[in-house]
Amino acid sequence: MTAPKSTLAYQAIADNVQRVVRGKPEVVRYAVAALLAEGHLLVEDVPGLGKTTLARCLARSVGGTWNRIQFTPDLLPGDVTGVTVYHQKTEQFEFHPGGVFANVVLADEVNRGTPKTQSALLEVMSERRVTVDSVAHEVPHPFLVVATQNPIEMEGTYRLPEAQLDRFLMRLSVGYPDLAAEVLVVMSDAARVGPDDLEPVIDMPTLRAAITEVRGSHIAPAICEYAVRVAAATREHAAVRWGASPRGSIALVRAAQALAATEGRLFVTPDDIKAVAEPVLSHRLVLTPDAELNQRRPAEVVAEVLGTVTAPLAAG
Amino acid sequence: MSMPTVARGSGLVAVYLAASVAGLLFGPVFGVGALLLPVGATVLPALAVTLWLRSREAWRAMAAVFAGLAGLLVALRADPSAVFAGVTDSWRLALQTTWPARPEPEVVVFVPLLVLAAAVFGVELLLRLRAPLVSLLPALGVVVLSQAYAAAGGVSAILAAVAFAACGAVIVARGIPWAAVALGVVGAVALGVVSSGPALSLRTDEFAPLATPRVASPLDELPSRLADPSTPVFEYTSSAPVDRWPIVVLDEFDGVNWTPGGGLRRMGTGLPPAVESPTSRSAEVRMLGSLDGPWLPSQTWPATVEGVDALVDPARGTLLSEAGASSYTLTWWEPQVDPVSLMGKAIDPSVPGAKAGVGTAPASVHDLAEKAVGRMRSSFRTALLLEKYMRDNYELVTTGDLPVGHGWPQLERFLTVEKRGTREQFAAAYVAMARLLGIPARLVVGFAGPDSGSVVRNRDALAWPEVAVEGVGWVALDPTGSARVSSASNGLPRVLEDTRSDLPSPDEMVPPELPPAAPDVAPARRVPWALALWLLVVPVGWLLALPLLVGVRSWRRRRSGTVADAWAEVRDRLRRHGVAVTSAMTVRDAATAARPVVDPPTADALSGLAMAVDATMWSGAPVDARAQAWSAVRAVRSGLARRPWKARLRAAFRY
Repeated sequence: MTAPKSTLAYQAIADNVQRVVRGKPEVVRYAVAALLAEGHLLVEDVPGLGKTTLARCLARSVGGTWNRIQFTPDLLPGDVTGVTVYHQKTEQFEFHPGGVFANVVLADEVNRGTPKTQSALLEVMSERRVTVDSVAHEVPHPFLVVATQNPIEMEGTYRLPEAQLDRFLMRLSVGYPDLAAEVLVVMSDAARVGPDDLEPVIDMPTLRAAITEVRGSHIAPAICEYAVRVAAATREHAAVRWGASPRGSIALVRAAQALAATEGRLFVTPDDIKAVAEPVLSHRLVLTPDAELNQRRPAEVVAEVLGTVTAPLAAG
Repeated sequence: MSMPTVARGSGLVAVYLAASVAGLLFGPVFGVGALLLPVGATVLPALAVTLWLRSREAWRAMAAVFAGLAGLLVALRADPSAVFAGVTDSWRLALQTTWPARPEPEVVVFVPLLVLAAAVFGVELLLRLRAPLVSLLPALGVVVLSQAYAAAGGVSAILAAVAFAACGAVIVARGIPWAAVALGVVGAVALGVVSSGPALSLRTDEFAPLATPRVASPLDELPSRLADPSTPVFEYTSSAPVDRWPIVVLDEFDGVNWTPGGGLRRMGTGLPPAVESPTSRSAEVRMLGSLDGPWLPSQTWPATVEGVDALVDPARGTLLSEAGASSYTLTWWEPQVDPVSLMGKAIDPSVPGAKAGVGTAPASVHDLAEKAVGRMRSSFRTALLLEKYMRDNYELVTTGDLPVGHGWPQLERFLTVEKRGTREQFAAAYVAMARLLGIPARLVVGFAGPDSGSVVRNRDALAWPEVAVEGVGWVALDPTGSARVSSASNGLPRVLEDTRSDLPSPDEMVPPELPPAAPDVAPARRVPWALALWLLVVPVGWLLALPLLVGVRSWRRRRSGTVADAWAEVRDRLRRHGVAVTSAMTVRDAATAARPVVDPPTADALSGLAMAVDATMWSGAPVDARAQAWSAVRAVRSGLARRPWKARLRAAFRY
């Protein structure tokens, strides 16, 4: 029995990325799953852990176009979306596309951009089109934004508002590698194996077919209900002021479909919902002031919710 | 933390039913019929509210309590203060009352309140905990309390146990496991058979308190009454003359004072007959004002008292009303005695007060008593011989300078020197000598029936001895030989008069056969068998029923054979082995949680089960993985069987 196209695509991309990103197979898995779910990815961690490398590897592994936008305070919305310029020779206005016009967009240090610029990017993420001077310009399909941000340096940064965080399908944290993995990282660097050395391993038609296959994978009504109950339970948690929105429920299901594909399945299980709950939901929760004072973390809240919501078939 | 789940309605009904059954076990106290209304009126509204609001965790219990209380107030027609008083006092009032107690709100209210509390608490346990049978513990607590009041036995115990087993079955299973019900029946029958022994009851030492604990002894009042003979005391209306009206029974004698023994209880709906072949009589008594003290004219075996809120000593028949009474209707039991057989009766040493002491008796009185009966063994004939001896050798003094006192110095002087005395000295001396001979006797103070008419006056005041006769009860004697027996009387006094005439002389008498030895039962040494059995049977039955229930459940799942049942079977087996498998866990979560408990092959089997469940339940494809799933179940069962024997033993007694 042959593996599904989406599974083959995942394996090809993951193997390619892991030639450079060593010792983090789960992070790579979730990142590729986000790509297969056609959702945007926010990678958040301290400097030096490979956020940008991961994003660049993802972009390089896909045979489409990719752009990198380095967010700085002087970056203008037009730099992201594009501008209309008057062409004297033709005596017409011409649209000059910005950095978002690529299949994979690496928005590096997105929290260093001004809120206005951030809004321009996040609008594209949601609408998948850019409107300049009343003219809509479609971005390529598939369209994946991989944004990175540093959570510890607050000076000169603009924290992404919760409404805009909601646009990201997942938020991942790379985390420090263990000793063996770090040795591999150092050896790869010594061998001068970097993102730029990676070749595309999947073309756009194949990726689009894989994405379509993932979106069509089977999901039982009981699983949908379970996902909704998990999202709804975050709204009733005592430590949460604003819980996950219905968009969060949708994101749970879509991410679970993609994660199931990474295991060779075209159907979703409750374990898939549980596995994606933390990266999908934690950045969508706004904790109460008391909970924040007590240094509660959204990931803890999600874990508690998963521990209380009855799983399908497990009642009794 | 467990997530609240909404139980099936049948489980909630079963919890309420179990609490109601526990409440109805107070039947010996009030009568089952009297409990149906207050318990039903409390339980039904509360149950309806619980079923309605079962998903509202915050309001459910409070709303049910309010609904139950409202139903209770309507049913009892009581105000909230009566309910509040019932919370603090009714349980004690029920203990201080003769049973069946009158179902008055201030007495009965604690039963429906207990039932309501047990039901509401049980429902909360059912809906909040994972062990459903824990929800029966509050009702079981009510059962234990009811058994501390009056131990159930026979049919009532069987019915209660069967009802409890059925409730537990409904709560635990989706159907009724008849094996569990059968076990309940067997346990109940065994309980009914073995629980016939004496039972400990909380009421044993609980009596109604007296506001005036010290009152003048009617025995001391006799001389003053006889000094004012024409003053009316009370009058009665009855279909036939009444020969004696006892006021108080004085069965405690320390050598100086005669005092009443026993304890008083509030009069309930009535007292059962304590004699063989009883007949019922009644009289309306109207007090005329000169009876001092709280005692009321009574009979030896009162049945009911209407018209006055009276206290009664059920063992002695004494009636008492601290508030006084102007009139009341007394119904009492009288034994039907065959005059031929009365002579051959034995004494009854088992009656209350039969073993009361006599203090330090003078040796001369002891010798005199033995001489009076010709050293015959104790029997009713001996009692009659002693009566005859006193009639023949002593003189009753009713006028002039009357001797006083009824302690040993006065009685010894009366018996050995003066040989003339008052009625109370005759009676006291008779009782003391009878006790020295081993005959159960007691001193009674009261009034004789009037010569004519129905008005009892001071001149009718009388003290007389009574002896306990087997199968008859207390029989009044007259050592003075002066008491009148109404010609219209056809009761015990008339039969006794006929018996006296047939009494042979001491030389001609043949000692009767020895009575069977009475069991030496001392209240302080009674073993609470019924309570101990309940405490033993319940846990033992629990331990025996658990493996049975587990086996039945497992068999039903195997018969069903679905993948979901395979997962449920594995889940419960892991839980019994201490793995905290919550309802939020999937098969893979359970496998992870079980890692510290199971070996690698078992962990692999759990992974296989997870794949079978995923393929069958979530793939959307027609996959038949039942064989794979149940193969995993067998592997898990084998893996758990390889655990240490202590772990397996603990698992055997978990559900």
